[in-house]
Amino acid sequence: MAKVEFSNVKKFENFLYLCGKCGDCSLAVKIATSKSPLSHPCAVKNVLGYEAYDARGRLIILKNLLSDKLEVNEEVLDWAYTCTTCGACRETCLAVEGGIDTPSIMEALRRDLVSQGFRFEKHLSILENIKNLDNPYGEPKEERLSFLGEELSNIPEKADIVYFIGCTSSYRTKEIALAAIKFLKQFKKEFAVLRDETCCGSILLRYGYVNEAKEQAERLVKKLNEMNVKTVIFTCPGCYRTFKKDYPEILGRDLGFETLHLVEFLDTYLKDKNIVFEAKNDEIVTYHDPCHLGRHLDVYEAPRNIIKRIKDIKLIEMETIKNFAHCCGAGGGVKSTFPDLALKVARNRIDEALEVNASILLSACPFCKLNLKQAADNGLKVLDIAEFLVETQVHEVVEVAPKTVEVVEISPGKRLMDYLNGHVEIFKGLRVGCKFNYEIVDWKTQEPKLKFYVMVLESGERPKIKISMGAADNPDVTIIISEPAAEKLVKCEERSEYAEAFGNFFNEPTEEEFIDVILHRSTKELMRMGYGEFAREAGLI
Amino acid sequence: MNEDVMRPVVEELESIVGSENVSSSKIIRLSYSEDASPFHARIPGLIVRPTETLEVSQILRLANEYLVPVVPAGGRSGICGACLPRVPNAIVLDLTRMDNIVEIDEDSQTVTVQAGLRWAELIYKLSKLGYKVGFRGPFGGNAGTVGGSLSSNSVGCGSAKWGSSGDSVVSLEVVLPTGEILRTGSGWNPLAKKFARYATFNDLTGLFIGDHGILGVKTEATLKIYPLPEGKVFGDFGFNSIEAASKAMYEIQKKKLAEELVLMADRHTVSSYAPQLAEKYPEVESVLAVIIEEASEEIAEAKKKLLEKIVREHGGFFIGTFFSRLHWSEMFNVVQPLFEEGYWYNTCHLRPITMFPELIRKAHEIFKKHGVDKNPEITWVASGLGIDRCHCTGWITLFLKNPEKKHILEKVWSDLRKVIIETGGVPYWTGLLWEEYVLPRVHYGFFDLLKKIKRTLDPNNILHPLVFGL
Ligand SMILES: Cc1cc2nc3c(=O)[nH]c(=O)nc-3n(C[C@H](O)[C@H](O)[C@H](O)COP(=O)(O)OP(=O)(O)OC[C@H]3O[C@@H](n4cnc5c(N)ncnc54)[C@H](O)[C@@H]3O)c2cc1C
Ligand code: SF4
Ligand code: SF4
Repeated sequence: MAKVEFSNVKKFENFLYLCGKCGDCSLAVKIATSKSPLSHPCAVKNVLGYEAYDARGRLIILKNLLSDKLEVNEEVLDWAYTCTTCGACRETCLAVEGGIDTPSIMEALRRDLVSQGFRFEKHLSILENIKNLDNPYGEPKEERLSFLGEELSNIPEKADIVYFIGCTSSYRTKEIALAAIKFLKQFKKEFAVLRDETCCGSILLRYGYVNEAKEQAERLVKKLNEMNVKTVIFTCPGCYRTFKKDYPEILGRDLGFETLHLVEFLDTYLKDKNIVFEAKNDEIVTYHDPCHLGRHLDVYEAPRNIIKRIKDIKLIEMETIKNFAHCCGAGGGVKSTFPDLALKVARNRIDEALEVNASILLSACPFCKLNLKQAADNGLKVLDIAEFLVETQVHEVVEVAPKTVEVVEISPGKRLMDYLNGHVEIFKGLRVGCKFNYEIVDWKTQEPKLKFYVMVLESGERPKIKISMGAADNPDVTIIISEPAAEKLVKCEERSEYAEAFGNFFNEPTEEEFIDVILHRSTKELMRMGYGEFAREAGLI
Repeated sequence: MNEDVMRPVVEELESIVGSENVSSSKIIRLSYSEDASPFHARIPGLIVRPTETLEVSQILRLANEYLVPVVPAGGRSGICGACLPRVPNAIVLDLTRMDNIVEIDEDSQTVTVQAGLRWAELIYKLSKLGYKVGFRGPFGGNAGTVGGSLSSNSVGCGSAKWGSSGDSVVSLEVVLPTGEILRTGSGWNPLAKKFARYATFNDLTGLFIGDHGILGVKTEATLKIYPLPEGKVFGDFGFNSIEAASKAMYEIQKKKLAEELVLMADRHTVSSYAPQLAEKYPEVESVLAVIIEEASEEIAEAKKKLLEKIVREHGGFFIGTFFSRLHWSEMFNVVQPLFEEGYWYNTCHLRPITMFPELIRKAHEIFKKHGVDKNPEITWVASGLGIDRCHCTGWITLFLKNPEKKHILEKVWSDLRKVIIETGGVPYWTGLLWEEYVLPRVHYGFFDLLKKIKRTLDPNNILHPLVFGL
């Protein structure tokens, strides 16, 4: 076969070199040894079994391709499209800051293959569909919004907020779009739906057809800019990621509008409102983090906050969650290229849900829903969060005291929260964007009594910070403080005294007064982010 | 690969393990052609993924029939090229599917696991039941398997108290190169539990530990377990010289105080792990991170007092608990962040603690000789881990940032390995990393016996040929 130029892959040569081949990206289980919800991260390797399908194997194969020890043939082409680009390997990898970016390298390889004529028949027909019908499914373009029926006339054509439905919910998971529309309306937001919405081009990018995707991007962004749109809301994390991450990259400019997933919109909207949802039945639900929403865009807490608002529903987490959640198997073009593989991957995820005795598996992605639902043949219900809210809740929103009121009582945790708000000099030295969780725990049971997190908005002598309830999306560190230790910390008058007390609780813990720290990044990375200054002052290092 | 020769083998293998667990695909074979070392050997001919002892036995019988070499592989996290085939067309046995816990025997306080189980998963599963193993696995225990570690004399987490990986073993189930299945220790008696290693006959278990997969395929291992500790103490101590730190380490080990004991050997190492700390304590040359784990808080506290006394007597001082705690809470994640420094080249071996400072001195001479101390494109970390009684690991790992400087790195790496052997060091795992340095020095009688054993157990030289030059 012809010689292939790997100009895109070559941009990542340093990653190929720095992989120390430790094998963590497919074999690690870090639940007990580093308190991380991570087990056998590569969902594809977990099905296909062989090393070639995990990041370490992929990097070895890529090195062979680059050095011409391996020629591109059909086998290589197939292999290139077996990665869901889920990013679990990257989260697991500690070799470089942010982990070795195997998903991007696999996408680079696809770009190289496509640009040099290595193409899948299947992909070409999808390309044609997008070109001619504005959707990859081959459905008539004029029927895109027909599922809305009469409802469409009640939705404006123009507004500051646009709900971008996406191809999958327009043709395959209409129930999600209907639910989203219901909530957007219910919460009295004026929003529009594009009458001539087209495919965002996500699948084209995942296949490696950048130029074709760019055309889609240009057209859509131009239209939204012309309409002076301020916010675009998505229910499809695939579209959302494409808008938020890929468009600015391929267009080389800022989009000029904000992008949000419905769960983020709802979470923010509901935050200060007295609104709760009531379930029809007591149920155990669990939540599957869609890769494009979680790992790719760091949205982990919003969907959980919404689920926790539903009365009588118990949210039980699966063994692998958040940034370490197993992929459902549908992403990265795998569902359309290798549907059997996608389904097998989904079965493993279903098993995880069944292991925690969930009766409902929730997600926030039409693509995950379709794939997981197809795999769940054993009584487990698979629903999108929006749909669950619509289907199983008393439809009227009841005005009662919100659940979050409980935590406003003056507990040691709350006192510490207030104290930190007033003593921002404690966070001196931290870079903008640092975020870390606090868990204030009962010293006897070690159960968390209050969780909050700090985000650094501006650095400086007296940094600007934001303290919020709950846990941060993708935090750098989690600080666990016993209530008696928190009681003492709030009595410290200045930073040095606070640091010293903090260090003592860490270094010389007693049964009642202790501090523990869980690092979610390597110490090197944390030093670069500025955590060293406090750690040093506190005598931690 | 010679397809015609292999076809009947492939068909029979498929009937043993199922067609989805046999692969001759080029990309799949390539993906098994490396481990975590920089070495390259032969590309495997076939990859086979068994799940049971019986399958392994059938595969080995078949291999003898067709005279096809077989190479056992675990997590392939080895850093000496041990699991890479030295001959063409070998069947690589990927044993990672053999990852079940077979039995937890509370009567004899043992766990029996399949050999392909990784340490991190074993620790997780045991912790749910309130148990731990003594030796917890090498620092690469996320991917390292029990079988791979036992086959290569791994040392690592928990070694200060519990010794090398082999010291935890009560009994092994091994498939011999010709396919027979052997159970060692009290396992010789089919009616007995596997509770004692040294019983009735000589210790056949030891024959297979550290064999680098040449004498048999380990399929199960029975390991000792212990209740999770009630008392834990962490401490990091600074010393102004490597000599003082090593003496303290020696005394701590002599009294058997620690579960884990890590020595960051020079300022360069302390700075790369903890630049802030190096800055804060300009006089600190070496850091000793100590972890005590005991059945009760009282015992742990009593040991802590003894520990502090020893540290004081050797001029050391307390500098916090961060490193020891981090080391323990990130048990198998401490090495990987160093990959950022460049590709890694190891010199792992064992030596008495008292001979550790000499190694560091000589290493610095070598760095100076080749200008590494002034070359930011090659860097190193030097550390030691307390093992068993009074020996330790010598861990000098080189990192090559710029591949164009490989010629310098090769010289440093080679000089280090020579010096290590010359100063009485012994590698724990051997592989392509060490054979060249080790084999010429092996006592004739030792090697001759090893050869005879290999020939007796593996008359067709099926299992991992050419390892140790056999
Ligand atoms: C980040 C990192 C840190 C490390 N730290 C340490 C450390 O602290 N201490 C240490 O000792 N090592 C360390 N290592 C090296 C490696 O992790 C260990 O040596 C580990 O025990 C190897 O296990 P494995 O399953 O990966 O073996 P492999 O590399 O797959 O194989 C090792 C050898 O065992 C043989 N083998 C494997 N399984 C079997 C079996 N079931 N039966 C017979 N033979 C078999 C192979 O043929 C080969 O000869 C580290 C590696 C990494 C990547
Ligand atoms: S990609 Fe990262 S986790 Fe995977 S083998 Fe390489 S260094 Fe290890
Ligand atoms: S991106 Fe996902 S599927 Fe691809 S190698 Fe990494 S973990 Fe596996």
